[in-house]
Amino acid sequence: MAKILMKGNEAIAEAAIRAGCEAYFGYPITPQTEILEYMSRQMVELGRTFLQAESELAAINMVYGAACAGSRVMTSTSSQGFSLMQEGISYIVCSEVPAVVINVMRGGPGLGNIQPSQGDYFQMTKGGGHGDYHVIVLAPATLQEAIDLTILAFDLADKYRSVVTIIADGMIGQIMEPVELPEIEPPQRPDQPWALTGAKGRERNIITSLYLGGPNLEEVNLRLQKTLDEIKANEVRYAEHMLEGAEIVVVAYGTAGRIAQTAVKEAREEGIPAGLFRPITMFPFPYARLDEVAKSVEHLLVFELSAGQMLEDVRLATRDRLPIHFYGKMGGVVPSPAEVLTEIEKIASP
Amino acid sequence: MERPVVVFAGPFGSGKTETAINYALQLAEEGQSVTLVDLDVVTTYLRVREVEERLREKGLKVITPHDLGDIDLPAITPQIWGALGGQNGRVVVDMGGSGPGARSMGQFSSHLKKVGYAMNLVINPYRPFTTTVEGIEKAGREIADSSRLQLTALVSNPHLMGETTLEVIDEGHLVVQEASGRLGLPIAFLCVRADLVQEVAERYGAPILPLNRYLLAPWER
Repeated sequence: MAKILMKGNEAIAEAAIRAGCEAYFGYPITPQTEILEYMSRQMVELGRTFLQAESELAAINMVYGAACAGSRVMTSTSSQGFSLMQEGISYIVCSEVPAVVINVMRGGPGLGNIQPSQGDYFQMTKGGGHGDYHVIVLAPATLQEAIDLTILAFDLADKYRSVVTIIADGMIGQIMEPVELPEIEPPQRPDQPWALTGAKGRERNIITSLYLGGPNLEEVNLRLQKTLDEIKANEVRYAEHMLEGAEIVVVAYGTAGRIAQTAVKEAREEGIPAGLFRPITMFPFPYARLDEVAKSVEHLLVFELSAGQMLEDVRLATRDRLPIHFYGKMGGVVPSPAEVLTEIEKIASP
Repeated sequence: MERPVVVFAGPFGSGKTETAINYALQLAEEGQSVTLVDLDVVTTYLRVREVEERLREKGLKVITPHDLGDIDLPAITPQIWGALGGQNGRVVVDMGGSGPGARSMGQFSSHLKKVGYAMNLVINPYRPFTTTVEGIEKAGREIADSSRLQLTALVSNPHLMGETTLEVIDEGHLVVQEASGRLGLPIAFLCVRADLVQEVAERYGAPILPLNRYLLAPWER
């Protein structure tokens, strides 16, 4: 049996285990709790560390600690919990240690609801916590992609010694799809001379995010910015569907991207030259490629499960050279492909 | 399965809800008076309550905690007690997944023993923890213990959603058949996607429940 039927949250958890995640700390919140549940079952069986923390604050600081010790470490949460983790994420980034954080977004603001949403785009791609930083943000649209991106997240976290996040929404977490899981191999990790592993026979290491006095903090910031430049240069990812001859291109990610893909197919069947541009890295955003794509099309339609957050990056990428339409739903409302198709039709024949 | 109450239990994600819906509709089509009870206190999306209006239009009585809408509270509506009395025709129960989901059934166990029930363990051998006979056995034990009800049959639901082929059904059903032997439980029926029913029927003698999907991802709607 090569393929197996998994729920999105289970798939992310199993992918993390196969990527060699050695420690998981988390606090339950719908709609991602199955990640925690799956980890509680499997990590213990594998002799790895699972701990249900007393809060998201505690969980992210446990992640920080394990990361400092050189462990492959992950936490997962949903929107409200992700907000609570921001201070810790800022500390981890400043300390230049690797960690993976999964955010399965639900409706907000406030306590919101448990339905799928993409309302955390700003928070995830623009820093989220205090200080000058960004984290890598990966957006899966299928469960197979969720598996692949979770494994990639651990590698990128190691490579750039920073936090890598998965921006999923409740629908990705809750749906089921057949997936193929990669075979387990011992993960290839870079050397970690910085890790706090006990200073036997070497100088002690210090990991901190506190730099009082002098120009030290500016140096740290300059180094973080240099890392971000490398990330922007090397890690941009996106998917394109039916762009050939497209005059109306929908820009959407995650679940919205999936809905848009169905709508675009239906538009083509109606003879409307529509296409889909689906960013996979929301940070670094594929500015250059989207700009290139926009040169040969007449309209962009940004579709998000939010009031229009990625929309700002699309406008930045194209500098408003062409008409950019927007269709969004908030508060956990998920439109059908037919509704997106209607938006495409409105642009095609105004 | 002429018992008044038919429960579909099973590990998380084994296909209980779609099975319960399709089974209840089949009984209704036969002219029986059927009440479908959503006792799933575990799943957060894609629950009976999302399609209950559609099911009512098809002639089912449906009991869900729908007043609570999209909420993840383990709420059990008192109407269920009325339905489980068994005086108003057949009752089909969609139970929550695995042990935690089965626990909510425990409070009804002594009552169900009086009125008579069938307790079907729905198994998809393509789900992570039930790919082997041992896994199925463990899942069954956990559910029986938590619900304080006895399993009376297995329901074989081997599928990979849109990627289901005859080979997938063959290979998967074999695992469930093995489990059936080991657990000493008959296979009540084999669930097959409606468009594959004819071909499968030619291969197996077991009763087949054709499945039409009701709970779809947004991009499939």
